Parts: sequence; structure tokens; C-alpha cells
Amino acid sequence: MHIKITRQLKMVFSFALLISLLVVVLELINWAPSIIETESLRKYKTIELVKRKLHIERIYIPAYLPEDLNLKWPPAEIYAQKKPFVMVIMHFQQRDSKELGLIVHQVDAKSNYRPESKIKLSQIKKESKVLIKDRAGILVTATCEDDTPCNQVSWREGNFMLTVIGKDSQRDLIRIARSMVPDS
Amino acid sequence: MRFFDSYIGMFIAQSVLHSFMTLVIIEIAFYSWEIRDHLAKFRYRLLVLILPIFVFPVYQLINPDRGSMYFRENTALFDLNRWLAIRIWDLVPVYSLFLALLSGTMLIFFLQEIFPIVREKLPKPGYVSYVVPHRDIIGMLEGLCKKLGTSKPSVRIVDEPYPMLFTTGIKNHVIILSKAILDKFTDDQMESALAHEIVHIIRGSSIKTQIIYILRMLMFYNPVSLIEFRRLVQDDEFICDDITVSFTKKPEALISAINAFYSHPQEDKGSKISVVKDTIESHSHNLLLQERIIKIQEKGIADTPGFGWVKFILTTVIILKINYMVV
Repeated sequence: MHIKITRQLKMVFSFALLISLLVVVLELINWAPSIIETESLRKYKTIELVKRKLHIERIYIPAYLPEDLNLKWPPAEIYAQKKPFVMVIMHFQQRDSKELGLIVHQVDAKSNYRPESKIKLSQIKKESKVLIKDRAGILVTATCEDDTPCNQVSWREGNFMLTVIGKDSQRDLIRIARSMVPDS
Repeated sequence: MRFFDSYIGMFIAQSVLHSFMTLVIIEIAFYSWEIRDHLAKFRYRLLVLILPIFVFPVYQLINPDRGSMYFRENTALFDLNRWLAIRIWDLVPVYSLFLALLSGTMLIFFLQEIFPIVREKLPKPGYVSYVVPHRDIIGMLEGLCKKLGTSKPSVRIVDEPYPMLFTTGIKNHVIILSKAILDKFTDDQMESALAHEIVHIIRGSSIKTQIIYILRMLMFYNPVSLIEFRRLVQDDEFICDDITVSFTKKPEALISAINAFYSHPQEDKGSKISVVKDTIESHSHNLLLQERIIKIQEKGIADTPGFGWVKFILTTVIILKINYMVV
């Protein structure tokens, strides 16, 4: 009986050990491409780090965040890549709830790529033209998946397509967007 | 590359990955749980064929964001797209190599498995089949079926000079054997060979193989399914050998019967390519026979644990959990 229990325990230990080893190996294999392709998509802690590592010509960041939106600076999550095309994604959380309040996408215009957004527009109500300083943009009025109102504004800025998505008013969103671009 | 971001692209890539991960985990299970019993192995191996067909749609239903870049970046244990995006020496993209692997598997599938079926369907001179009365095959078969508690199948003898023995039919089974076997086999060899076929009938090997084949066809692009399908068929042979020996108590007779099926390709026939192809096929066929003989000769299998549901369920849960994080 004792021998049988010892044997069973050995089997369970061996199984657990080998599965743990497999998980470690998988993580290593998953990490390896980031050494080979240093400029592929990955998560960064700060915008400065993105600039230093990827040498992206310009990263557009909002200079103005309305106080009443209660958004936390710096962005809670930053994803960036230089290859196969330049893309920077910034997620801003609300100070108290830690819920996402604002998203900024900066994508190489030539790529025609539209990154998935964590704030998902579920029902689009209206699309209208809007000016971001003197750039022509499109403002989308919608509701999010949790039925809260949310908006999206996108425009071309130099070599990039910029998109700002937020759970705030159209006026605030346009103000944020305008604060991102220099006067021409 | 963007193909692998689409639903169908993710299904194809992930089903291959999930098959591979399942294969690795069941091999770990075989080692850790000391599984040597072929029936238990057969059940585990079925997971490699079945799970990858169903898990991806289920995972996506549970979490539609599972394919998103945020899931890949923050939660996934392994993200294939990271590798597929790499360009070797800035020239050859890895995804094109992956596509080549899938295409190669598809080609093998069509050449080895679909083409012979189509060829079989074409009109051709039929086998000359007749019942040879000079040996009491029917009597031997009746005796075996009575002992094994099953109804007697039909027997068809075909006039072929090489050894041939197999069973067809799902409800009404027919054992087909060649005249060469009838002429060469001793009574003990014949008894073992027929018992092996009756065990196939009792186990429902024909229907099982057909179901497994359909599953394999659904994954026609998957190299892991290609390998595992063959291993499942081999496991079924091992299981039937084990049961046959436990019933006849004559392992040597079954071994000598198996020996008769060794293939010797003729080198003077056909082109060089077909000779190479025949040689490879004969070699793999002979390897399987050799493995069957070694398994019959092996002692100490009785000491290894058989199939245990707890271990099986635990292994399945681990497979499902790990595969969820492999995208």
C-alpha cells in the first residue's frame, strides 16, 4: 500500500514537473523573437523608452487631458513597434476606477492597418467631418459595449493616421485631439 | 501574414499548434503515468486528433478577444504570430515557410490518402475470389468465434501470390485472405492470424478507423494529425496483438505469422522514383511489423498501470488550459 502511494506521488510529481518545464520552454520560445526582431510589437513602460528603443520620428501625445475626465498620466499601457510599420498605442486609465478612459492610436498611414481598440464602439450613431486645427478629420459618435456614450476622432497627421477614442464628450475629445498636433 | 489574423487563418494555425501541444502533453503523460498499455495510449492519442477541431471555436466563444494583440501580448504563453512575422535574413518570411509546411502536408495527404481512394474507385479487373476447401478455415474460424463469443464472419479467399489478410465491413464483416497465406501458414499461425482479425471485428476497428479517418480528413493540412492518425492505427494493431496472444497463448505463432508479411520491394520495376517510393513504404511497413513483434516479445507490461480516468481527465484539463494560452 505504502509503495503504491509513493509510486503514485512520484508520478504526480513527475507530471507536474514536466508540465511546468513545458510552460517555461513555451515562455522562452515566445520571448525569443523579441531578440531577433527588436523592433516588433511589444509593451513599453514609458514613452521615453519607446523613443529611445525604436527611434520613431515623432510620437503624438495629448498635451491636454480635461481635469473632469479624471484620466491618469502617464498612460497605463503603451504598445509600440517599428516593424513591419510604425505603430504606437496608448491606453489611459481613469484615476479611481482604473477603467480605460482614453485610447490613442498612431499608425503609419501607408500600412492601412487599423489596430483593434480596447474601447469597442458597438453602435455607431453618426459620422461627421471635423477640423483638427486645419486637418480634416472624421468624428464618430457611438455607444460602447456597456451602453455608455463614446466617441472616436481620426485624422491624418504627416505620415501617420491618428485615432483618439474616449468615453467622454465630443467637445473634450476634439480638444484632446487638437492638443496632440502642432500648429501649422 | 494578415491571413493568420483572420478567423479561418487563426483556426488553421492554432489547430496545428494545439495538435502539437496536445501531442507533447500526452507524451509527458505516457512518461509520467507510466502508460505502456496500448488501449490507454489509443484513448490519449485520440485527443490529438479530436481536440484541435473543436477547441478553437469554443475558446473564441468563451473569449472573443483571445485572438487580439492584447491577449497575445499580455496573457498568451505562446504567440505563433511573433514567429511568423520574422523575416530570415530580411528575405524569407517565416510565415511563408509555415505555409509551405501546410501545403506539403496537404500534398502528402492527397497523394497518399485521397489519390489511392480515387484509384480504387476506377474500374479494374476484380479479384478472383473463391473458397478453397483443402483446409478447414471455416471450422477453425467457428471454433475461434465460439471461444471469443462472437458470430462468425464471412471469409473470402483471393488468388494472390503475396500474403494478404484484412477485415472489411462495418456490420457484416468479411475476412479477406490470400491463397499465399492459405498455402504457407501452419495451423498455429493461421489460428493466431484469424484470431487477430476476429479481435479487430470485436473491437469494431473498421468503424473506429473510419471515424478517425474522417477526423484526420478534416485536418488535411495538419502534419501532426497525419502522424498521429498512423500511430492510432498502429496502436489498434498492438491492442489486437495483445488480446490475440492473451487468448491463444501462442505468441510465437503470431510472431511467425507477422513475419510472413515483411515486404521486399522489387528493384527492377518502374522508374527510379517509384523504386525509392516503394523502398520507403516497404521500410516503414517493415518497421511497424518489427515493432509489433518486439511488443509481443516484451515482458513486464502487466506491471504497468492501465487506463485511469482521473489521470486522463487531469491530462485533458491541462491540455485545454495550456492550449487556451497558445495562440
